[in-house]
Amino acid sequence: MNQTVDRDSAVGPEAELTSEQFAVIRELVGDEIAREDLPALETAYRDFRTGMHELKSAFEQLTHAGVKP
Amino acid sequence: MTEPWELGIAEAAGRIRRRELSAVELLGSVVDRLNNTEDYAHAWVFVDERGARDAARLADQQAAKGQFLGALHGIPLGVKDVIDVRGMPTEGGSNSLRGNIAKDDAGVVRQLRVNGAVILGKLQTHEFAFGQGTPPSRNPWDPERYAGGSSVGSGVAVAVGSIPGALGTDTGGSVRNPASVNGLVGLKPTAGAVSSTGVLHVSHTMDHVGPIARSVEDCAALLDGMVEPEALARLGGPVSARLGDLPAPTRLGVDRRIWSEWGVVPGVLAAVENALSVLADLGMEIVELRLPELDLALHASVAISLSEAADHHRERLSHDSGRYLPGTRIMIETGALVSLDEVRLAWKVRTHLRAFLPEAMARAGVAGLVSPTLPAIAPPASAMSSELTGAGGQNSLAAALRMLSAANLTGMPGVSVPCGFADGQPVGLHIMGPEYSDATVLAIAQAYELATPWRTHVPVRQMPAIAASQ
Repeated sequence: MNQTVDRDSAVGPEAELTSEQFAVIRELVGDEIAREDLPALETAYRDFRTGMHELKSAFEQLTHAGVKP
Repeated sequence: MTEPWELGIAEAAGRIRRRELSAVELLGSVVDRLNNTEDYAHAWVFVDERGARDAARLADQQAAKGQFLGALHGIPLGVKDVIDVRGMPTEGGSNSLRGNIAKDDAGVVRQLRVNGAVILGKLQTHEFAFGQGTPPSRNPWDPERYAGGSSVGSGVAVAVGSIPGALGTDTGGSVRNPASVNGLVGLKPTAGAVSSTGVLHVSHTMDHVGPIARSVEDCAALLDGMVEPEALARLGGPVSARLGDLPAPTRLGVDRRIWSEWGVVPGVLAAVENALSVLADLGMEIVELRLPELDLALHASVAISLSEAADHHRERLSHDSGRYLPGTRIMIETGALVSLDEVRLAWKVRTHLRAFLPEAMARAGVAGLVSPTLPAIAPPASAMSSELTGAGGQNSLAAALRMLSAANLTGMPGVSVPCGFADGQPVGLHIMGPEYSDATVLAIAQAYELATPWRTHVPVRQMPAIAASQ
């Protein structure tokens, strides 16, 4: 059910948030601000996700390599 | 002749105790210095001169009867504006909190008063301590450069001498970063050592209230005055009394390979290598200790911090989102999107590092991990990138977080102590130790400080000229 955001003309076509995620943001800050923030949020969120993928992979590598506390 | 405002905390407290200096006289000199520097520094958001004078007068009356509340009796201090001080504004650098007056003291402020401190006022912060936006505080070494953050007013005020010591908060380096940039000593204490009640949180897991001062001795005195008795017992008693207690032999771990991955610039590297030589000359053993695990800390820290920030700000954002800076809002919105799996992963990494790092240090027999505090000197303010989630460059908040957030994630204490200059800007040396080894990391820092001249460069007595356009 991860549909991308249904954008109107105020929001660009290259959105990456799902409609559920956009709803979370709309509930947090209101519709107008959510739309205003969307491009910057998408960049920040994409960077965050990239970081988390790196973390997952690095953590798995280290723990599988036998680095134990 | 030394003016009272130039004195450090320990020296001023000693003079007050010996009745060679009155608290009113000290406060008067500090307020004069504040008035003489604030046009340049813009470090303060609120000054309660009358309340501070009343408190100083009371301190003198008590001193006349031989009554001293604690080690900070009569010492004026400043407080970052995310920490409540009763009757003063707590606006957190945000338009969304304009006019908010604190009804009570934060736990740490209450403890400072128990120990005799005089609270002079509130100091500039980046909005809600997120590091976004540009507070007006100026770097005392160069007006065009980044002045540190998010405890920016705390760093600048202590550096210019408009207060001998200040409180900051540190979620990923926000005490140690302004300490490094301003040529000061800043400590992120062991998690839980200092109360964080009455603090506007970014993240209750990662936030630490910490002291900023002009010497290790002053930083230790301030820490002792901030810590409640039970926590002080867990730290092994007052840290000021143990600054001479170095483990014998003292071994320190360094991971030069990771410094390279962190993008540490040559000027900073040279200062840190010189510092390591000084430490070796002092009889400490420097050992190479590979710890690539340190690099796990950044992303785990960001996931925990931002997800908790979304919870802390949810209610206020629901009615005042338009009065937040967009940069702050974007960070909190990102936090609202962090998934349960991502939070679980971050906590798993935290649990792993909390066990792994102290054990790795114990296996290697090292008392501290030493590194540069920041990868580069303070960049021009216009070149500073405040994004937290991106890879950033050496002039980014993310780069600073990458080096400092392991201490926040694991709860380990970390101190930044000045270790020289690069291109005329201060460089900080970071020393991190196992939980509750605050006295040891401060002792290592002080041994270094006493062997070098850097301590004498603060307070900055002459403010730099400001270009007409600024």
